[in-house]
Order: sequence, then structure tokens, then C-alpha cells
Amino acid sequence: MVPGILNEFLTILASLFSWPLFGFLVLGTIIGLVFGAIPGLGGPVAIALLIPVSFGMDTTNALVMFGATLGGVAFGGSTSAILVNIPGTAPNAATCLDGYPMTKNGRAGEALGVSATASALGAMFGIVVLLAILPFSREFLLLLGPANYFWIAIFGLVTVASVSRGNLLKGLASGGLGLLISFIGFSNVHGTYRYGFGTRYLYDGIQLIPIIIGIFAIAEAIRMFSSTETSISEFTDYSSSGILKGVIHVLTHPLLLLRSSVIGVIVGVIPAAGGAVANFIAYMQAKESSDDPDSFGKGNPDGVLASEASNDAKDGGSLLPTVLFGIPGSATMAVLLGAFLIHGITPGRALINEDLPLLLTLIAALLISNVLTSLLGLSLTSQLVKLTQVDSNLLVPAIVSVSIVGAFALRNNMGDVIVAVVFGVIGFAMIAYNYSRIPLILGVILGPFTERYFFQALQFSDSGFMIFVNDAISLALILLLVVSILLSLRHRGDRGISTIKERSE
Amino acid sequence: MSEDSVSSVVARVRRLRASVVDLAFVCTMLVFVATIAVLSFQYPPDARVFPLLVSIITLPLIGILLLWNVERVSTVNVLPARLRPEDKQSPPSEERLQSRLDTIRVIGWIVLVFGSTYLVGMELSLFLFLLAFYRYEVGLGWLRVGTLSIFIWVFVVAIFTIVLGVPMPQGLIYELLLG
Repeated sequence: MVPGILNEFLTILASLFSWPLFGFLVLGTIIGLVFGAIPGLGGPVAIALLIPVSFGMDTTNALVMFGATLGGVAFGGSTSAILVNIPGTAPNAATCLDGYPMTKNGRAGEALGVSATASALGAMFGIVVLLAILPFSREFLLLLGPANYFWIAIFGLVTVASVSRGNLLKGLASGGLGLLISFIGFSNVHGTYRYGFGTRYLYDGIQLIPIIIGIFAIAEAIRMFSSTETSISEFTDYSSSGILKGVIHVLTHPLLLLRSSVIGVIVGVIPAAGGAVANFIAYMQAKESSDDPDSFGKGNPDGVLASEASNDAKDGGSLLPTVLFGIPGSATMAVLLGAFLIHGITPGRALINEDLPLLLTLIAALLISNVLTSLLGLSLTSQLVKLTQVDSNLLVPAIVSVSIVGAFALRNNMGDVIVAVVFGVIGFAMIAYNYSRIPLILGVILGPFTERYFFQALQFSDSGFMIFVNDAISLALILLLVVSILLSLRHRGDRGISTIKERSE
Repeated sequence: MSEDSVSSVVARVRRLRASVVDLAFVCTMLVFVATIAVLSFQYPPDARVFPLLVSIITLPLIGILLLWNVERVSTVNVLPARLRPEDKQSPPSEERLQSRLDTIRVIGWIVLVFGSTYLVGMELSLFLFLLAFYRYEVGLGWLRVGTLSIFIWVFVVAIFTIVLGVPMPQGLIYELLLG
């Protein structure tokens, strides 16, 4: 089983070096590097804007491009984190802590060498773990029935709501809204047209892609224009010497690399925890296990190593719940999930069995692009850094233009443009008032599946609603759900108590 | 609209507290969820059970958020401390009030692009949007405005019209001219 998947993976890996797949690989890598380097953009916006561009593409080409973009984003973000102290993406935040001090000490080349090497090796580790788990996941998926899938969807939604930004109530409300939005339109399960007020446009429901374009791309454009922060940064010329020193530093610290990569994979698996959590946890463990913890924050390359290795390893981890259950491990995965659906790829059994070559293509593209990213990124660093000095207002019309045309291109329908604009405003409001957008997107994606599984389970049941609680897997999922909510409440309660104590002192 | 009335509208927008806008956002969510719940009763039982269940669970969550926002707006304690959601959002500073006007302006631009698409077609409206935005919002000189606008417009048209073959809407004026 494992050798079978491995052989297939290696065959697909080799095929990516042929034209036009290699062309899409390079294109996706460059797009990822650029979007990662510019603060405020990042993976979700990159993939949201690429989705409409990929409409006319062959599915394999599209997946290669998406996988390569995913690989490019992480290193692009680390370049700006190291050189100008602005993380290109949230998961690169911890890289600033030691990366920028290294630049100020004239060791920018070494920092970039550490980042490039740790990124590439961390990503490889994450992908190896993913490939190792895939064969066993096939067997696991065969054990699951509709009732189990129902609870997995609910568990995923609640977990995403409880770990993402903002508070638990806002996360759950966001998820509930997403579910309700998904119920608008004709229901294949019941043969009923619901909540559409009889309009033709809403007969097919509110489409996912315009929602994604609005919530992530247009909302970010509004936020960029409204932000009082400028992207103009202080940057001094740097010397690229020292890159090799950085590479050697990573290779001579294999244990730290391994620990950080493991943290990245494990945190990546947790829905919506994402890279921002992974790289801080990895950074803290590197500091605590260091012989010289006081040097952290002043230019210790181990800080950069830990942060970057975990950041890239998390991609492998976060792909796991995304492809197995349709539960995204991060915001980027949530948008990638939308891209899967638009290309007719459904997470779960179908993807692991019939569409396994497509999944392996995505993984292979991610692997190669991480290596390519490190090589390209090191050679294009000075150009990438100039991107961080771009006035963000210059990007706003470009993002709006691509978003509007992209939303229209889905079905040649101006209604989709209206949806994108409306959700752009909603998305901005969610950012401004601290609501997580991931539960909403997840609710829109999972709503139809959850309802279908619910009724399928009832159809197969001899015992009515008892089917949802009468097997071990369902009970385990219910228990995990309750524990997840209680832990989240307790964590927020502890924070609340400490806040109340602070206020009373 | 006279300058004085525009200034007074601007002043009112700037004085509007962030907590009030947040409250309005929560109210909108509440109305949406309540509407779904009410409309559910017109559908057959199978078709309404799931949406109704989700609405019933979501409504109290939004209700608590609403009460919390009412507390923030009125500074009267309505919720017990245990139920008060913790949120680190800081009060709006002068800078954030200015950014509120920027938010309204950029949304206005987006709505204008959308509206003008019906009149002059998508390609032309996007080009005009790029020109106008770079000139009047970003404040670039005409040379940079022209360069950037042409570059972005050609990129968008090349990808979507030429490569993907998406037929862009032509607009009312085009259709009237053609007959």
C-alpha cells in the first residue's frame, strides 16, 4: 500500500518537470513569492484571485499552480520579515524576532540562508508525514458512515470557530451564518427551493467562489486602503554573503529542525490553528531548549530556523484534514478547498481513492515549489524586498479589478459580482470587528454536505436518531466536540479572569 | 449637496462610535438569522429541520453578542460577567476615524465601478476606474496613472477575455449605439 502510493508519487513528481506543468509550477511559485512578500496579501488572497483564472485550465495544471503558489507564499513572507521587519504573512511573524536583528547586525544573508534551507527541509518533512499517513487514511475513511461524517463536519466547524481569531461566540456565530447562507437555493436533498424569495439568481444558491473572492480579496483591498499603517518600510542595502553560512547552520542543527517541523505538522493538523500559532510555538521551544536563551530576539539564527521550519511543515499537516474531511487547517486551506470544489474535486473518500493522482500532483507541486522557492527567493531577494515598499494603495485597484472580473467570469453573471462586493463589505466588517472569516467559509462549504449526511444517516437508520450516537466513532467525535468547547471556554475564562483581576487592581 | 451639508455628514460619520457600527453589524446578522428561522416554517418538515436547528442555535449566540454591544454603547451592564465575551478591541483613535472615511470611499468606488459596468461595459468601466482611482485617490501623476492603468487593464483583459474567452458585458450605451 505504502510502496504503491510512493511509486505513484515519484512518477507524478518526475512528470512535473515536463512542459507545461513545469511552466505552471514556476508561475505559481513566483506568484506565491510575490503575494507572500507583500504584507496584507498572502496565501488566501493569492489563491482567491487565481481561482477565476484557473476556470478554463486543465485540473492538473490548476492544481500544480495552486500547490506551487502555496509553496511560494511562506518564503516570500519570510523575506520581508527578515529584511524589513514586516511579516509578509501572519505565519512569518516569529521570523521577525530574530531575522530582523540579524539584518541590523549585517547578517541578512545568513538569515536568508537559514530561512531558505529551513523552509525547504521543513516542507519536505511535512509532505513526507502526509504521504506516510495517506495510505492508512484510506482504510480509516472506509470505516466512516454518513453519521460519522455528519459529526466530523460539526466537530470541524466548532473547532475552527473556537481556535480562530476573535472570541468563541463570534466564531460560532460566523459558522452558523455560513451554514445558513449555504441553505439558500434549491436543495437536492429535499427537492425544495428555499430562502430565495422566488428569484432566479438565488435558485442555484449563493455561489462559493464569489463569496471567497469577496471575503478574502475585496475585503483585503478595502482594509488596505482604510489602514492607517503604511507599507513603506525602512530598508538598507544588505550583503548576500553569509547565505552559505546560513545553509550550513541549518544542516548542523538537525534536532532543532526536526522538533520544529514536528510542531508545524501537529499544529497544522488542528483546524484553523494555522501557521501563526505553529511558528510561535516552535520559536518558544527553540528558545527554551537553547543553551543561550537570552540571545533570542537579538539575532540568534536558531529563532529563524525554528520559525521557518514549522511554518513550512504546517502545510503538509494542514492539508491532511482538508483533503480527508474538507476541514481546512488554515485560511489558505479554506480557500484552496473552494478551488478544489470548483474543479470538481471533493475531499474525502473520492479524493483519496479515485482522485488520488490529483492529490499527489498537488503534493508534488508543493514539494518542488518549496525547493524552487528557496532557490528563486534567494536570487530575487532584492526585488522581492522592493515589493514591501510598494504603497499598498497602488494594489487596491488591481485587486478590485481582478476580483470583479473574476467573480463575473464564473458564470458570466453580474449577480456573482454583486455577491462578491457584498461579501467584500461583510468580510471587511468581520476583520474590523474581530470575527473570524474561516468559520463562515467553512459553514458555506460544509452546509450542504452536513445536511446531506444528516438525512442519509436517517435513511439508513433502523433506530431513528439513535444512529448519531450508537457507534464508537460518533461517540468519540461527540466527546471531542464537547472537550473542544470546554477547553476553549476554559482558556477564554482564564484570560477573562486575569483581565478582570488586572482591571480591579 | 452643499459643502456645509457634506461637512456635517462627514463630521457625523467621524463621530459615530465604532461600537455603534459594530452593534449595527450584529443587528444585521440577527435580522438575517431570524428571517431564515421565520421563513423555514413555509417549507416541508424535512426541508426546514436543519436550517431551523442551525437558526435556533445561532440566534442566542448573536443575542449575547447584541447584548454585549448594547453594553458597550450604553455603558450599562446587561450581561453577567461570566457571559461577557472578552474582546481586546480598543476604542477608535482619531486615525481610525479617518480610516472610516477611507473605507466608505473605497466601497463607494467599488459600487461605482459595478454601476458603471451596466452603462459603459465592464472593460471601459474598469479602465476608467483605474485611471480615476490612481489619479484622484492615490494622487499619482498622469504618466504613472496611464502606465499603471494600461498595464493592469491589459493584464486583466488578456487573461480573462483572450485566454479564458470570458464575454465581458458591453453596457447599455454600447447596445444603444449598435441598435
